[in-house]
Amino acid sequence: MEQLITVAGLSVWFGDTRVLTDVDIEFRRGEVTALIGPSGSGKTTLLRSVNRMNDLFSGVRTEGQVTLALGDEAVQAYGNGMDVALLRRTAGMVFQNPNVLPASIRKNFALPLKHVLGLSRDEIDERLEATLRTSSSGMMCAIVWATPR
Amino acid sequence: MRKWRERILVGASWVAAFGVLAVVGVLVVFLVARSAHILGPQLLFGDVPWTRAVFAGARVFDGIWPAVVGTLTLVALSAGIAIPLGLAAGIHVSEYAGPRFKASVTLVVDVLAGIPSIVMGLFGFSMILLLRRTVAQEAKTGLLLAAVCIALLVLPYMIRATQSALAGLPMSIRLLGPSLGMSQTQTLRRVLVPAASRGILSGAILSVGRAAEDTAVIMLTGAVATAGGRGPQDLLGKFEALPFKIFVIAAEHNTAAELDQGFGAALVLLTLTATLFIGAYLLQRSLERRWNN
Repeated sequence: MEQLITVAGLSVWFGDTRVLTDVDIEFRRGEVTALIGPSGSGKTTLLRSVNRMNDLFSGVRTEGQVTLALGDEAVQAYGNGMDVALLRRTAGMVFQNPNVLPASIRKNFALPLKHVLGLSRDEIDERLEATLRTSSSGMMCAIVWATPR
Repeated sequence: MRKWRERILVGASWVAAFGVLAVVGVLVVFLVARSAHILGPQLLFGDVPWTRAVFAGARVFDGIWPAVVGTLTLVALSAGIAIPLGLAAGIHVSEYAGPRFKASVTLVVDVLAGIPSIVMGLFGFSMILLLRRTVAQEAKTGLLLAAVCIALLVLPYMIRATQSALAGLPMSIRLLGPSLGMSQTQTLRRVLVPAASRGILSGAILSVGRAAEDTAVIMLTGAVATAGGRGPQDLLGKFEALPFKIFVIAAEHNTAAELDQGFGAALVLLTLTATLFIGAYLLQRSLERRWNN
C-alpha cells in the first residue's frame, strides 16, 4: 500500500518539556491507523505535527521530518519555503472536540469555502447541497436546520 | 454558623446590587425633580423654533442645543480617532507583539490610563503653546485639539478591552482558522475579532461614555461657555459642550432659574450617554445577528 505520511526522527518540545522523542511512523493510504496511549503521551501532538498546527503554540520546537504524499508530489512539512496555510488546507484535521464557531452551522460550513477557497455564494450552496445528499441522516438534519427557509 | 455566614454574604450582595440601582435612581429623580418644570424644547432651543435651529442653523443663545451638537461632534471625532487606533494597538499587542514589547506597551498603557484628565488637558494646551512658538503662530485651542486629547484619554480603555477580549479566547478558537488553511490575517479578521467583538465593543462603549462626560480636558483645549449660539462650525474653532456648560452654569449662575437649566443640561447629558450606550448595544446585537446569518 502507498505511503501517505512518513514521520522520521520527530521530536517536539513544548518549552523545556520534550513531548515526542525520535518518533518514526508511517501512515498508508486507505488504511486506518489507531494511536493508543495515556492522556498526555503525545498522540495529539503527533497528529498536529503533520500539518504544523503545533507551531501555533508558543515555545514549541520541532525536529525531524514529516513527508506527505500530496498528489504525485512528496512534500516536506517542515521544509524550507513550505506554504503552511496551503499545507493545512490540504492536510485537513478533525479535532477531538468539535470547534464550532458561535454561529449557524451553515455559516460554519460557508466560512472557509468563502474566505479560504474564495467560492461564490452559488458555488457554496452547490457544495452544501452535494454534502447534504451524500451525508448521513444526522448530518443532514444539522444542515437542513441551518439552511434558511 | 456556616449557613449564617452564607446568608449574610447573600444579603450583602443583594444590598450592594440594589445600592447601585438606588444611587442611580436617586440621582435621576433628583435631576428630574430639579429640572422638570423646564424640560421641553425651551431648554434646548430657547425661543428659537426647533426646526430653524436644527435644519437652518439658526443661532440659539438661551438653550443648550449648541452644547448638545458640540458634545456629539466631539464624541464622534474622538471615537473616530481612538477606536480604530485602540483596536489596532490592542490587536498588535495581543497577537503580534513579542513578550518584551508586550510588557512595555502594557506598562505604557497603564501609565496612560492613570493620567488625570486635567493633565491631559494641560498637555493639549502646552502643545498649542509649543506650536505657536515654533511652526504655527496662529495655532489656537479648538475642536480638533480637544478631540485628539480626549482620544488619548480613552485610548487605554480601548487597547485594554481589545487586548483582553482577544487574550481571553480559548485555544480551540485560535486553532480553528489555521486548521482550515486560513492565513493569520484571515483568522484574525474572520474568526478571532468577531469572536471577541462583545469585549471589544464594551471597550468602545466605555470610551464613548468617557469622551462624552469629560470636562477637564475640554475646558483647557477649546470648549467655551458660548460659541456664537451654534454648534461647531469648523474643526479648529471653539465649541460648546454639555459638561463644560454644566460646569459654567454651576459656577457662575445668577438666578435659581439658571441653575435649573444646569440641572436640565445634566439630565440631557445623562440621556445622551444612555442613548449612545443603547445605540452601541443595538449595534452589538445587529453585529451578532450578521455573524449568525
